[in-house]
Amino acid sequence: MDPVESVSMLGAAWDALTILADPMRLGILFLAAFLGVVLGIVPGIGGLAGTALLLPFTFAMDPYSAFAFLLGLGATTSTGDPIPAILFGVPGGAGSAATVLDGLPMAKRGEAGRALSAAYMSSLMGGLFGAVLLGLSVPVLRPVMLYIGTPEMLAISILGLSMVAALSSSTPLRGLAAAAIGVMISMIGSEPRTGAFRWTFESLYLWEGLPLVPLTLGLFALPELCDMMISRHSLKGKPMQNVNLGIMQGAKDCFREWWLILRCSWIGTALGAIPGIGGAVVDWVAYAHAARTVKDGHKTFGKGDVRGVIASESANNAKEGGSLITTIAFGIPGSAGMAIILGAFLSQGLVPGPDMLTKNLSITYSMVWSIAIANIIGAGLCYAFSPQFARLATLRYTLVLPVVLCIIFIGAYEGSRQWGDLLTLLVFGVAGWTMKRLRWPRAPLILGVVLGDTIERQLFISIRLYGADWLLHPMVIVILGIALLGILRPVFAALMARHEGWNINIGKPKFSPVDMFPVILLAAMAFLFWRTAGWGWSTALVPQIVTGVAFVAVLGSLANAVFRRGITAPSPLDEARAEASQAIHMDLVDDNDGLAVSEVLRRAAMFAGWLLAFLLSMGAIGILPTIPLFVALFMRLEGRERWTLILPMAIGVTLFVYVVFDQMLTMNWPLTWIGQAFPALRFIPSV
Amino acid sequence: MKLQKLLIATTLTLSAAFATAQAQSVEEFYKGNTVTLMVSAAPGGGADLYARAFAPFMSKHIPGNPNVVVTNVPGAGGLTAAAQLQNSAPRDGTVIAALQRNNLYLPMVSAEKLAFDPREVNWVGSLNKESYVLITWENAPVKTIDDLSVHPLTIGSTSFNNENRTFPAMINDYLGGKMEIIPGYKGNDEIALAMERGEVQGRAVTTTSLLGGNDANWLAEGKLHVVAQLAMRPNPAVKDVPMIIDRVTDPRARSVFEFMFKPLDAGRPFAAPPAVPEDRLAALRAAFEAAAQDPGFVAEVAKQNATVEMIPGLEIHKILDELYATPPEVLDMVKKLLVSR
Repeated sequence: MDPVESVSMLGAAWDALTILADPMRLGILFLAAFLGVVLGIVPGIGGLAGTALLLPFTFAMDPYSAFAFLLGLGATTSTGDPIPAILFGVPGGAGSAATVLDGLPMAKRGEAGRALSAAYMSSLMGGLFGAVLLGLSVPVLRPVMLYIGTPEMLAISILGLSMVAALSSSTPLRGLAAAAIGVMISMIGSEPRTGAFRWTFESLYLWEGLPLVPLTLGLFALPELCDMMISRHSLKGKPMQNVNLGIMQGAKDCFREWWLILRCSWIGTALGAIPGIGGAVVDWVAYAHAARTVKDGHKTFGKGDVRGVIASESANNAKEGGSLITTIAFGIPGSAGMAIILGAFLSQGLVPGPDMLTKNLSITYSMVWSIAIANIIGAGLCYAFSPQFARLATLRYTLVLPVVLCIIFIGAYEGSRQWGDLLTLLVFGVAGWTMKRLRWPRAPLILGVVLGDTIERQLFISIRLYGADWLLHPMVIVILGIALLGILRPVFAALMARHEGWNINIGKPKFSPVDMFPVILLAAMAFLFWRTAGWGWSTALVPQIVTGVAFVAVLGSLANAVFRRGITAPSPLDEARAEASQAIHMDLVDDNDGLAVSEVLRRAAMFAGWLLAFLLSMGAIGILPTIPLFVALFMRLEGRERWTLILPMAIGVTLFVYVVFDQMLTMNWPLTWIGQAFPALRFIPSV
Repeated sequence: MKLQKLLIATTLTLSAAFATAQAQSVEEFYKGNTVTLMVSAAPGGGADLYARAFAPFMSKHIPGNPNVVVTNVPGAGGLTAAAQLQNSAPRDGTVIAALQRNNLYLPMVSAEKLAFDPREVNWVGSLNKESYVLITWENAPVKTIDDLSVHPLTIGSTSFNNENRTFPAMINDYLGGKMEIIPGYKGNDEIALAMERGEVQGRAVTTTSLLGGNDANWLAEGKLHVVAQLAMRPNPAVKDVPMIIDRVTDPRARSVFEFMFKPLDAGRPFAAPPAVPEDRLAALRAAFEAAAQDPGFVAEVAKQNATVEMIPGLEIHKILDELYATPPEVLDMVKKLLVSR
C-alpha cells in the first residue's frame, strides 16, 4: 500500500470516529446497546427479531446513525447472552450454548459473579478484538476474500466439523453418532441442487429444514429446566461467594488469559466471516480449541473452568466483526443478523462491495467503531447490573421456571412462527434430556446440523468445478491437514495409553432399560434409510453415507455398553465410561441428588406434562390467555406460593409478552380452537 | 359457572356486533382497525424491505387509514404464507400478503401436494415487472447470444427451482445451449463473488439487480457482457440486447418459454384471502394502486436503487388464466424442467 493511501485510511477512520462522537449518534448507540443486552438476556429471541423490527426506524436516519443503531444492537446481544446461560443453563442465544458447560457448574459452586464477570470481560475483549481485526483488514478484505473460493470454504467447514473429535473425547462413538445424526437433520428439506425433497414427509414445515432456534433451545435449555424441576431448586443452596469479589476475580481471569482470548477471538472472527457457519457454532469450535490447548483443559473443562466461559464468550462476540467482513465487501451476509444489516444497506442506497472500501470508507469505519463502542457500553451495562443478575440465581425454582418456560416457548416459535417449531422444541427437549442423562454429547449434534448441508453444498460445487483437484489447492491442503491432525491426535493418544494395559474387556451380554435409547435411534435410522429409496443418485449419496455412519456408531456404542456392562460400569447411568479413555465428558453431568430413579422419572414426566398442558391450552385458547393461567397454576401447585406473589407475577409476564411480542414485534400467533369456533372472540390478542 | 355465562354473553353480543359489521362502510370498518401485511420471506432481504417500505403508504391510502403492521411468515419459497392466506387467515379484509411469483405456477407443476391454489385467493396487485438477463464476465468465451450454442460456459445458480437455473436450462434444452449450470450457491451475491473470482463465468440475473448493485458498476466499467434478455418484452434499459424468445422457433418450445416468462410480469405480487367482502377488496385494490404510485413510495424505492412498476390485481388474475390454459403436453415439458428426475 502506498503511503498516501494508508494516510487516507487513517483519515477515514478518524473522520468516522468524529462523526460518531456526535451526541445524538452516541445516544442512539447507547440505546441500541441497551436494547441489545436486554434482547440477549431473553432466551431464543436474540438480536434478530429486534433488528428486523427496528430496521424501518432507520429509514429516516443518516447511514452513520442507522448502522450505529443496528450494529450496536446486534453486537451487544451476545454480551447479554451468557447471563441466562450461566444462571439457569439456558443459553440466551445459539452462540452461548458452550458457555453453559462451564458457566453453570461455576454458578452451582456459588461463583456466579465470577463467571458472569469473566463472560462480560471476555465478551468485551473479544468484541474489541473482532472490531480491530475488521478495521485492520479493511484494505486487504477484497483481495483476500477473492482468493478464498468454494473449495477453501469447504475446507474450513470440514475443519469446523472435525471439532466433533474434541467435543466428544470421552465417548468417541457417541460423539460420532451425534454428529452424523446432526448431519442427517441438516439434510431435511428441499435440496437446492436437484429440487428434490428429502425426509419432508409431505409437510411444508420441513421444506426449508428444521430451524435452529427451537432445536438449540430444546437440546440445551429444556433439559436444564427439567433438571431444575427434578432437583426442586434452581441452584444449590450453597452460600453465595461475595459477588463483588467474584466480579473482580472474573475480570482478572480474563486479563490473565489474554492470549486465549486473542486466539478464540481470531477463531470467532474467521468463522463469522464464513457464510453459513455464522453464529451457531463459533462458541463450540472455540471451546473445543481451548479444551485441547490450555493446560489441563482436558481434565477441568466441563466442570466449571472459567477458561471455558472465556473461550466461548470471546469468540461469540468477535464473530460480529467477522460476519461484517463479507457483508461489507461482497454483500454476502455472514449470519442471519447480517442479512438485516444488508437490508439497511439497501434502504440507505449503499451498495456493498468496492464502493464501501473507497468512496464510502468512512461509513465502513463508522461500523467498526460502532461495534467497538457498543461492546464497551454493553459490558458496562452488564457490570452495572451484575449484583442483581447474580442474585437471580438464588430465586426459588417455582419463580424462575414458569417465566423462563413461557419465554422459551415464544423464542422457539420465533424460529419460523409455526406449530412445527413448538413440536421441534419438545422433541429435541426429550432427546436432549435423554442424551444428557445417558451421557451422549450434545455439542457434536449442533455442529452436524449447522455444517452438514453447508459441507454437502460446497462439496458438490467444488467437485463440479474442479473434479478431485480441489483437494490440491494449497490452502485446502493446509486446512484439511490441521483438521486431520485434530482427529488423529486423540486416536494416537488413546492407542499409546492402551499399549500398556491392552485387555479386551468383553463380558456376557447384559441388557438394561437404557438400551432403549440406542435401539429407538437404530429403528429410526433404518426407517429413514428406507425412505431414501427412489431418490436420485446425487440426492441420496450424502444422506445414505451419514445414515450408515450413524447406524454403525450407535450400534458400536450399544454393543460396547451391552458387552462391557458387567465389568466396568458401576451404575447403569455410567455407561459412557465403558467406552474407553479417562478423558473428561464434555457435557454437563447431573447426578440424581440421591433421588431414586423412579422419582427422577416421575418428576421429569411431570415436567413434560406441564409443557404439554401449555401447548394444548395454547392451541385451545391462545398463548396470551394461557400464560397467566400457566404461571399461576404452576406457582400454586408446584410451590404453594402465596397469591399476593402469584398474581403480580402472572400479570407481569402476560403484560410483558403482550407489549413486546404481540404489539411491538407483531407476532403472527397460530390459530386457536376457540378463535375458529367463535370468530367473534378474535378481539382477544393471540386468539 | 359464572365465567361460562359471561363468555356466552360476550360471544353473543360480539356476534351481533359482527353481523352489523356487514352494514358498515369500508371506511368505518378500517378506521382504528389493524391490517396485517404478511411477508412471505425472512426479515432483511429485498422482499421484506419492499414490504416494510410499502406498509405506511398502504395505510395512507386505505379508507379510514388503518394501522398496517408487517409480520414475517417465511418458509417453502413463500408457500407457507400462501397456504396460510388461503386456508386460515381471517377473510374480513384485515390480512394481505406479499407472496412470491413462483407461487403463481409451482402448484400447477409440483409433484408435492400443496395446500395452495393461486386461483382461490384475491390478487391485489404487484409492485414491479421483473425481467432477466444473462450476463458473462469479461474473459468468458460467450460474449454474444450466438456464442451460446458454440462455446461452453460455466454459470452459477442458487437452487433448482430458481429462475437463475430454470431459464438457462431452457436455453440448454431447446436452443442448443452448452452451459454447465452449477446450483447450490447461497444467494445472488455469492454467485457474483464466484464470478468475480473466476469460479464461474456468468449468471442469469434480474435487470433490477443488473442496474442497481455492483453489477451496474461492472457494466459501466465494461467488465460484463449482457448476452441476452430473458423475458417476454424487451426492457428499455437494455434495449439493444437481443431477446432470447426471438430465437425460439418451435411452437411448443415457445409455449414453454412463455409459461416461464409470463409470471415475471407479477414480480412482487400481493394477495388477499378468498371471500373478502367485495367493497373492502375493491378498496384494498384501489389503495394498492394509489400507494404504489405515491411519490413518497416511489422516492423511497428509488433510494434503494430499485423501481416500481405497478400491475393491478386483475392483471395478475389474467396472467393466471393464461397459465392455467396451458395445454397438457406443454405442461409436461415444464414439469421436466422444474421437477427433479
